[in-house]
Amino acid sequence: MSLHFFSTSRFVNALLLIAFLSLVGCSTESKPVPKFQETVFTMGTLVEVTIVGEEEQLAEQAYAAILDDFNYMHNTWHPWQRNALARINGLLKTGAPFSLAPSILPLITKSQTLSKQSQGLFNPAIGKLVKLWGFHQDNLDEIFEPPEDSEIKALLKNLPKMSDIKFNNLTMSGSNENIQLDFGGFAKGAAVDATIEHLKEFGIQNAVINAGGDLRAIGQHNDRPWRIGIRNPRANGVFAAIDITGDESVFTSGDYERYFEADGKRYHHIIDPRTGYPANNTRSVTVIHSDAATADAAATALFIAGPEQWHEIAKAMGIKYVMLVASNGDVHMNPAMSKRIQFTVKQAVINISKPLQ
Amino acid sequence: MNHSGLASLFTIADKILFFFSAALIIASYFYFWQSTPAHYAVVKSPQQNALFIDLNDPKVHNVKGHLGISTLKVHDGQIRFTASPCKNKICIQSGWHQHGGAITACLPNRISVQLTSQSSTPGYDAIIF
Repeated sequence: MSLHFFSTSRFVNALLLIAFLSLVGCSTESKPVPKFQETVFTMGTLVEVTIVGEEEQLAEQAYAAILDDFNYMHNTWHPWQRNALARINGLLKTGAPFSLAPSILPLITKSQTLSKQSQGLFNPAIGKLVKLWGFHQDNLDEIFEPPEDSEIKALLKNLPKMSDIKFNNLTMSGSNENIQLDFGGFAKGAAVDATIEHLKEFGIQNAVINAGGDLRAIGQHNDRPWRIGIRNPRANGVFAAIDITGDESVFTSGDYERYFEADGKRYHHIIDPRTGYPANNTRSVTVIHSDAATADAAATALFIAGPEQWHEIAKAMGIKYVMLVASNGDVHMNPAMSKRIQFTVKQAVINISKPLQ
Repeated sequence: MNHSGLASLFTIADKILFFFSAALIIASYFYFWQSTPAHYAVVKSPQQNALFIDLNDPKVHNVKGHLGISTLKVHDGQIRFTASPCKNKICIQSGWHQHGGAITACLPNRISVQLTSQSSTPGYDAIIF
């Protein structure tokens, strides 16, 4: 092979060599790194903990610690068991002041802020309405009929808000007899935040806590980002994927998570506080945010907001990445989210909104 | 520079190298960027030892759980619940699963199924739903 053979296109060859070397880099097998993965039933769901790059002993120690955290939060925040939350719900209804409850206080204060930002669409004070729909039990097929419209209307006349909870120095009180806190759209996120912080205290830098299909990830998976699949809301398999690096939470609210069927109609668990009925304009909403509690609340609020109002509410809640699948299957996203989502199944209609920032 | 002038810059070796590089890039996209099918499923239950199921071996597996026996069917590289003593049957309605990293469960019967690729190629680290 003569030197002249390559001399006419040295620049092109250099480019090809760079491309080839980068592909060689792709094909190099990753160094084996320790990976700890455990799955446990807690918080009423399946929680999967993945820790990468740490010694097994440390990972097991950290896992045991956050398991205790999860069990404590499950027992304290459960919406229909006899626990600290039930005691507070009983006291709030009386209107009388009582001592602040440290185990619930952070949830109340944060959800008050998020509820206000969401214009009341995220409203954990409507536990009574959620209970009326029969979602305060484990086995949903014990319900055969939705509640009477008159019962829903009666409750809507004096529907409680998070702002009905008042603080005065070291006491708190309720100003609406219908207040019943149900942190179902928030507790999982708050629990994931608390346990991720606990993992960080152990010095763990690369981990994912996936609580029943909602997660927060820190660091990365060895030398690549965490790769997250989003399950198709109406079919088997995954329809989109997102890469996560650093510290981010990905939460999805869908009409397929908890529901019952009556007379051939499906009634899901995300109740619109404005109508008293399950929100019916959305199939699913996926939100990416730094903290899991905000992502959890936002996914619920934006699900209720639907295709017409999601942009306004997301902006008010400070959310930067949203994908909403409407009830007709159309996908709505903001431009920043569209740059991160990789669809694995072709979508018929994708509407890109104005930027959220 | 006209077209023939541009073409004259490339030697036969350049063109061969370009062709193979382009083919390699396209193949790499499909190999690395597409979701990875799982090869195995790890089934966990508090009532028995974990099962390691080969998804290329079509079989029916009965797994003892908290409420009773759940049945898992393996077919064509996929796995699904086909029977379970739970009331809602959400585990059965969730259908077939085939992606690495996917996880499904029968919560009332406390049986979880996690799919894994067992290859160096990354699939999904987690599936959200």
